[in-house]
Parts: sequence; C-alpha cells; structure tokens
Amino acid sequence: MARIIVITSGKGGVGKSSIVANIGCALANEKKKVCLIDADLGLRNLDLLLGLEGRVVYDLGDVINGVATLHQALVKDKRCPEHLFILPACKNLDVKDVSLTYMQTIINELQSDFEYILIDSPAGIENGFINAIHNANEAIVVINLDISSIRDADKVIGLLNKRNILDVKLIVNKVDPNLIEQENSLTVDDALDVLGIPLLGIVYYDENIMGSGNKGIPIYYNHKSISCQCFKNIAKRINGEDVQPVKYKRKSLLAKIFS
Amino acid sequence: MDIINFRSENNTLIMTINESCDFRVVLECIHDRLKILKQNQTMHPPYVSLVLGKRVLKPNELLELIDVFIKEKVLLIDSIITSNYEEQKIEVVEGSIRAGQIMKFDNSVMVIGDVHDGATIIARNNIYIVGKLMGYAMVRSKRGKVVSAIYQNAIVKIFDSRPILLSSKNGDLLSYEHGEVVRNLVEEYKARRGDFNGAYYSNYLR
Repeated sequence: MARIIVITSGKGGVGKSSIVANIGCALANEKKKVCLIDADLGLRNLDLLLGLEGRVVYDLGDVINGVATLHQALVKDKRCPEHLFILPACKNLDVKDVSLTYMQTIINELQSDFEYILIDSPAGIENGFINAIHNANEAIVVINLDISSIRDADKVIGLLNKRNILDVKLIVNKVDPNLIEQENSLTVDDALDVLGIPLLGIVYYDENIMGSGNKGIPIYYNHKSISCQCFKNIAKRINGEDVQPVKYKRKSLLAKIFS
Repeated sequence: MDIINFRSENNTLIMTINESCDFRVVLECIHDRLKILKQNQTMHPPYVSLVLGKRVLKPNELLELIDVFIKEKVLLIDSIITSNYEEQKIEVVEGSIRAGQIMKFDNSVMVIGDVHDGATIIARNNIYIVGKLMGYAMVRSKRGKVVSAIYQNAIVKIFDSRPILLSSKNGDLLSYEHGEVVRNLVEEYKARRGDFNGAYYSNYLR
C-alpha cells in the first residue's frame, strides 16, 4: 500500500509545487516508486516545473471523460523512468466537475502500484483543498518565515486535524540566514514555537531555484546547490532515516565579488 | 468507605473520589488502581468522569491529578465534576487550540496544550491553560479567572472588564482575576511547561 502524503500550506506562493517536484525527484532517486498528483485543478504547473509539459498527452480531465485510461494519462519522467510518474491536472475544467469520490477511485487505483503518492494541494481552504486532503493519511505543511504564512498554516493544521489527519509535519521553505541575522525575518524556532508540530526539514533560499524551475530541471539535479542537499535529507527523513542537518556555508567576500 | 469508586451511568464511566480523604492518599490510590488496570488493558482506553464532591482543589493539585491519568494512559478524562459552588464541572481539552478555532464551554475548562494566536476560548467560570496563552481568552462570570503558564501577547477579558493585553517573559505563572493580575509563581508549572512543549523543540532538525 502506498503512503499518501498531501503537501499543503494555506497561503499561496510559499513553494508547494517546487517542493513536491523536488521531493518526488529525491525519493525516485532513492529507488522508490513515486506518483505525483497535481490537485491544483485548472492551474496546472507541476509538469512545467519538471519540464514535462511537452510530454503531456492526456490529463485528469480526459480520464474523467473516459477518453483515456488512468495509466495512459500518467507521464513518465525520463530522468528516473522506472520510478517517477506524474498525473497532470486538467487545464480547462471546473473544480466542481471533480467529485470527492472520483479522486478516491483514482487514488485507490494507483495505490497498489506505487510506494508514495504525493498530492500537490492548491492554495486556500476551499473546494480544491478539501478535494486534495480528502484521501490523504499524512500531511506536510509548508511555510515561509513570515507571519501571514504561519497563521494560515496554523488554520490549515486545525482543519487537517479535524479531518483526522493527525500525522502533520512541517517544512520551512526559503530560509535565509542573512535575513534572520538582520532580524528582518522570523526564526525557525519562532515558527515551531507557534505551530508546535514536528519539523521535517528546512530548505535554504537559493538564487538558482527560480531559474531551474523555468528551465524545467528541478534544483535537485543541481548538485552544487545547498537546496539539493536539503531535499535529499527531507526525502531520507520521509523514509524514516535519521539524518544530520545541513550546514549553511556563508559566501566569502571574494566569492561575492567574483560571482 | 473506599477512597475511589467506579460506577457506570448512561454508558459513561464515573469515578467517585472520597471527599474527606487526604489528597496525597487519593493520588497514590488512583495510581495503584490504574497500574492494576493497565496490566489487563485490552482495548482503546475509555473515557471517565471524575466526581470530586465537595473537595476543592488548587490549580496545581488539579494538574497533578490529571497528570496521573495522562502518564498511565489507561483512562481518558472526559470531565471533572465538583459540587463546589462556582466550579461544577471542569472540562478537559487535550491538544492545542489553533488559529481560527472558537471554543465555548458552559463551565470551567482546562486546556492541556497551547491556545494559539488567533484562537478564541470562552468559558463561564475559570480557564486553566497548561501551556501558552497567545490568543484571546474570555470568562463570562464576575469571579472567574484565567490561569496560564505563559502569556504571550494574550488578550484576556473577564466579565465586563476591558480586554487587557498580557505578556509574561520569564515564564511566570500569572493568574488574571477581575481587574488585576495576581502573581502566584508555582515552580511546578515551570517544570511542567517543559513536558508539554519541550518535546517539540528537542527534535530540532534542518
């Protein structure tokens, strides 16, 4: 049976989709069979981040309308062809058209074939969000170190607990130690203090992350980047291994000048 | 007469505690009984209501009593019933109250966890919080009080007083009663704060 994990945040723009893409790559490179489901219906962009837009033939809408079977709609990632698949969301379909029971049948069908099913939830706490969390049995909440994202995450955790998803873990994204030092950002301790859920990992801010998303190569494949190491650690912790934290290396003055 | 008695009423388990017996003796007796129960525990722990009779417990004693149950995990406390004039019933909430949640209670309440920023808790008599109060706490009766291990930008309102912003930096136990903050430091609360919140900080990963 697959572990069904929903990645959610409440607030938009904190980096849910890129985290799903990168954790998916990291888990697949650890030889786990992973399926990524884009539940952000209507605004699909998980395939863009993975550089798979050109290879999408059928999507969730076609599966619902009976044009294609579920396995035809799954897109294989060529970087790890046996292990990473994504189910793209539909581009022109109303969210209302996808009912809760339909999502459940899709996930039940996928459950026997995969070890991990990661669901990318949309921002907000409306229909789409409920659709995404309905079938999950674990959740990862993503925050940035600002007050509004922490408050939204707190509400989301309340909603998840109400729906009996009690295994909720935290990822703090876009952590910039320089900003924390200048006291322009909250610290990770502050966030943990408010939310009171176990921490799965921290992802340091990296200038290359935007560019790599635009090129369609997840930052996980850029092995020089510090974010890559963070994602590797997170994937290992999801597997249940005990990993030491990544050490943040400050750029020296010379490196700053010549960069 | 026995120190503790069990009976069942309308499908709920009720545990009556002798009124006149010494509190320490009661605690020991409950502890022993729970240990015996633990040996032949087979199913999910059932809920129990504690009947205290005319016994009046201080907040820290109440906490000790609840602690015994939490440690053994044989019985879960549903509520505490006293025939004390003001506090007839103390409901027990385990876990934190999160942003956006509004919880109302007809009588007193004890929260074992935090009340987060943006959450609201309203009770008729007293509110005890074993953890941090960061949100809004309101008591409806005139003689009610709000007791919390730590206040962090908390807003407290008692009866018709104006809401007051409270912050305690050194983790003191403060009790806010009508019109004034009563400082009664209890070392036990400080120690307990570690139990409930410290677990999260200790596994600080990256």
